[in-house]
Amino acid sequence: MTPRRAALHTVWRRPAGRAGLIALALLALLALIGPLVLPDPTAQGDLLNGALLPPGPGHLLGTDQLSRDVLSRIVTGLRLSLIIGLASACLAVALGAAVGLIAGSRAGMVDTVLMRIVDALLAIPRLFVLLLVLAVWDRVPIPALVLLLALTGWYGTSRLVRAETVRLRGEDFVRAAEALGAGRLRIALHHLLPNVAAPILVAGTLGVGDVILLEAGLTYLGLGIRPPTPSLGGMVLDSRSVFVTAPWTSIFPGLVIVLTVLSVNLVGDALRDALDPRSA
Amino acid sequence: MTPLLEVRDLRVSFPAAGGRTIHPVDGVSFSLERGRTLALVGESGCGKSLTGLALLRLVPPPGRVDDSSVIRLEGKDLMSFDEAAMRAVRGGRIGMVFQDPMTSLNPVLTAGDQIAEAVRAHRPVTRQEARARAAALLGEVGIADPARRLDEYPHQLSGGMRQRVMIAIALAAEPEIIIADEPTTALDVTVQAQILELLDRLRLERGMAVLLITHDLGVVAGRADDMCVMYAGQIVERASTRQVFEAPAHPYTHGLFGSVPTIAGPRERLTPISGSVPPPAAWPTGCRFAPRCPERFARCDSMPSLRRAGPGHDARCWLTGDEA
Amino acid sequence: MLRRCGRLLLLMTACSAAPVAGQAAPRRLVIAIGQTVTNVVPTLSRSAAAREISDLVFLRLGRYGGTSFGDRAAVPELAKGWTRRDSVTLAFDLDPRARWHDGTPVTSRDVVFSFNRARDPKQAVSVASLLVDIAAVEAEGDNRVVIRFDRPYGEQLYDATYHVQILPAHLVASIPPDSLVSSAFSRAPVGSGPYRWDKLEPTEYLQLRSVPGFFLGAPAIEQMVWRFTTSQESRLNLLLTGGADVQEDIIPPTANLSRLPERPSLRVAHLPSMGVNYLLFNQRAPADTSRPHPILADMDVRRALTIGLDRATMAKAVFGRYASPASSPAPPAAWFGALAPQPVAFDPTQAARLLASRGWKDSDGDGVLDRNGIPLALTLLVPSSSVSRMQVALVVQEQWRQLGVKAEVVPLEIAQYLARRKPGDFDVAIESFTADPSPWSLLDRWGCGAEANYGRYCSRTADSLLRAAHLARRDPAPPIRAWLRTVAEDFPAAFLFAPDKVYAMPSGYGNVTWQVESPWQMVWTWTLAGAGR
Repeated sequence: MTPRRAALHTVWRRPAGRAGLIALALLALLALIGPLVLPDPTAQGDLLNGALLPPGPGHLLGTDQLSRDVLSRIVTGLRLSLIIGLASACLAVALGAAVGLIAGSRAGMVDTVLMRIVDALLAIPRLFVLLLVLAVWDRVPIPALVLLLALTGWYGTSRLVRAETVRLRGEDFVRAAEALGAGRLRIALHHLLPNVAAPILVAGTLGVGDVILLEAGLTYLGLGIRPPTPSLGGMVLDSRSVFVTAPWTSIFPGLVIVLTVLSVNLVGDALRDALDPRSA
Repeated sequence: MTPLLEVRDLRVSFPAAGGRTIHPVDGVSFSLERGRTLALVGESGCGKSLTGLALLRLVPPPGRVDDSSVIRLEGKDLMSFDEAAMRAVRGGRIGMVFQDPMTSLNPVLTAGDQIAEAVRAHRPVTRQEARARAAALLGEVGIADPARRLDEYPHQLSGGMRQRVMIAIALAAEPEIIIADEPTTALDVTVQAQILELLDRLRLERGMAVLLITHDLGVVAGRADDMCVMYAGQIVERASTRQVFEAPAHPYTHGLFGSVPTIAGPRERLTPISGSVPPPAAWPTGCRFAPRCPERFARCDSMPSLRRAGPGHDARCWLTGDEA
Repeated sequence: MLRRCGRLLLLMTACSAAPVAGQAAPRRLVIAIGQTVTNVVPTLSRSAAAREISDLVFLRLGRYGGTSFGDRAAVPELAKGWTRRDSVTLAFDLDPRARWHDGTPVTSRDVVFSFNRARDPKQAVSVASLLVDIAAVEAEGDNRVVIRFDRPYGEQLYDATYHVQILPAHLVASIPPDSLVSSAFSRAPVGSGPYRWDKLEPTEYLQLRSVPGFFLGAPAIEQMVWRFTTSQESRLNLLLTGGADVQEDIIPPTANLSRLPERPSLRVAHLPSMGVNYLLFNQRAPADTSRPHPILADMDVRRALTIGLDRATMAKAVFGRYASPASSPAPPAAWFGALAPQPVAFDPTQAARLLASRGWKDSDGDGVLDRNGIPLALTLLVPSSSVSRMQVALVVQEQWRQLGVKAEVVPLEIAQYLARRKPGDFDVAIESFTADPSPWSLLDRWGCGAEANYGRYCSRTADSLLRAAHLARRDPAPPIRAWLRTVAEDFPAAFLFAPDKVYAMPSGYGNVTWQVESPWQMVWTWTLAGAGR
């Protein structure tokens, strides 16, 4: 059994990891298949009689103020949130890990310069930068939004990775690897990277939750996902004025956000444990 | 016959507080012959491990090997090699076995992965070929059921097995020289003998030179052909093992033997050497052992060079015979 | 349908509970509003809330009388009566009982000073342009003011009374105009109205207290407090928890009104507002206003876009029954609103036919009409702070989608919205405009080259009709009717509806009347039911 399959097997064996995997798989399935079988999320039904209907036959999760089916909107929004969240978190983690590894393994000027740059970037609030760019750039396509979120979210990971790398550099096995003639790149990828996998994974999973919430805030300001495309965060914010009278319009999207972030975190935690052979 | 490895005037510098520079390895010279074991003996802090690392130019920064040092491998000076050439030497021509196999093995990679990595670092083989070679190596270092051990992680192996894996890694690219840095210190006594036995056997089978770095005189006896005693960054005595054991010429060596308990013979009181090894910043300008030497006299205020105590036997002490 | 603005009686809706016997109405009224007010001196603050509060502190010669034409345009306030001397002269007799809050009597000197100030564009830039037809304002003795106009026209009495609030000359004349906003007078203004300045807690609330000796009758409510809040939700919460007694503008009314029974003593009042919501079409190209808009310069396209919208359903969906249909710039609540034509019927088939006849066909099968390679795509600007307009935007987008028109909703923060509207950087903007009682004031929005005419609509015919209405001396109705019809049929905008102003307030007050143009102006006439405290 290869180590990777062994890792997944370990994740499955733990109850928390299993729950997370199942939840994530269900959500992914929902996001993939849902939009194909459910009605159009932007279709406004009978505005006079079909608005703010509670959950019931015909509309499993009710309708919102413009009599659009809440379930359809959730499923479409989930798909978008998952794509944006996972893609940007992966990209951010990759970027941060690369910078951190380079800085950590090559001490001296390279390390200092890179980390000072990261410090300076960390001082600028992420939301501020996003607002600035999105306010100037009119209609941002989704891939650009993903890139933007990734480019503003890698700083923390790079510091984590750099710290771990510096610590590992002093470890004997790194010296031993050098002694057998391994090159710098090989050491970085083969020896250092697997050992920093744990903090990277945790940072990545936290990043997914961050991005989903960020996107909700941006949508509220009119800068994120444009209507009528549904977004989970946008649904929660749009429905706050009817929160008391029609709670299904904000509770269900909110629950889905929570569930998504939770399951990603659970899987990330379990994976981290699985990849650390000492705790197997 | 030209020696396989000739080390002349090896010096390692470290920056110290106050802008000064210290030399934990201060002008060490020795040579390694094919098929022979040289033991580098000394207390902790004398610079012997650093000497081993310096040979591979793996001194951890901010330390560095002085340019005046000469490390000649089969006639070519390693100090003139660039990084890529050194990488070929490391593992390919000189292999190193580290002290603590638990920390010297990557905990997240299997034994087979790490051995295979050593193979592939020097030869263009496929993954399967490397894996096969790793299995063969595991067999050579005396591990039973090598195919199963290939996929096990270091924490699943016993101490002795881990050290065998380390030796396998060191041998993977078929080097001519093995540097073993305290290879048995972290092991049980029973396992120690097995490992030393293994190193000996491999040396004879492959005609390698072994540099055995240790503080344990018991390890030296019977395993090393020649030995060098190090103190405070310098070699203070250099001869064949037999010569040193029979007639130690340097007061420090004398003291070492006196402080080793023996099972055989009458029970005598141990006579430890008074004081402790001074740090490099506190080394006297004269003989560095003088503050602790029972035979100290006025001339010891100036640094003695290696003087001939007998044929092929040198000692750094004013009390020995003529100049070497 | 109530058409007259002016005094309206409170409407009780079915959702309110019956008043509990013996429950006394408090002598203090707390109103939750969504803005912050720092200054109530007339012409110094442009916000609607500031003007509403200012109307209780500073009086006019006459209160708005329900129409802007002729002799019924004002009801006596500081002036107890007036006489017309000739076609261009009006003489006002001041009520000798009128007093400033510091006790000094209100004299003609105050009136002359206030008018001269208001007519100076450097001191009162927004009001001065409305008073250009006044030639001179002179005092005749202490209690009479004579106002002379440039020419005879129907809104003379309205112009003389509606725009200018009277300031105390003995306190303000000595202050240099530029430093008025930071002067002590600004921080503690002295007026002549039924309520006097009490205190301001910045960002928290503003408080007025009643003037017991007010010459037109002592107010029953002793304290008026305006609490500043930031969001719709916090206003509603304040109301439901008792932190406020009244909330202005419950949006969206349908959903939140159902929560009012949580506080049983609340009732709902709604009155038609002077506001109209419409989709403003930009008739000039957004990138270059010297060229016509590639899509919207075509009147038939604008017509199709309008009749393709089911405005009645949209109004009901967003506002429930608290909105009336609008067909022109005239709010139905205005006195001239009755002169507006009927709204065009919702006819999607006709709309589709119109678009096709102008060459818009779906040639590439993507669901969007196009012509000469240009798709029928429009940007729809909305201020994101307005929940109701955001909903309208989404409904419009969906209804136009069924016509084959691709509308992209662009929610913008209010400052950005205004910044893009002014230079014409938009295709369609969802506007909400509150009108003055005079139709002449609409020239500012719909006249050729007018400053607030963001859609750059221009019709010389319409302008001359409005001018004729302004100068009419006997019956302005025919030119106004003609003007409204001309504008409506030019389709410079898709007029949607006029939302009511919906208030929630406690029961227990009698004689409650609301002024549409300034809601709280008559609060001093309200009585307290029950024994009072």
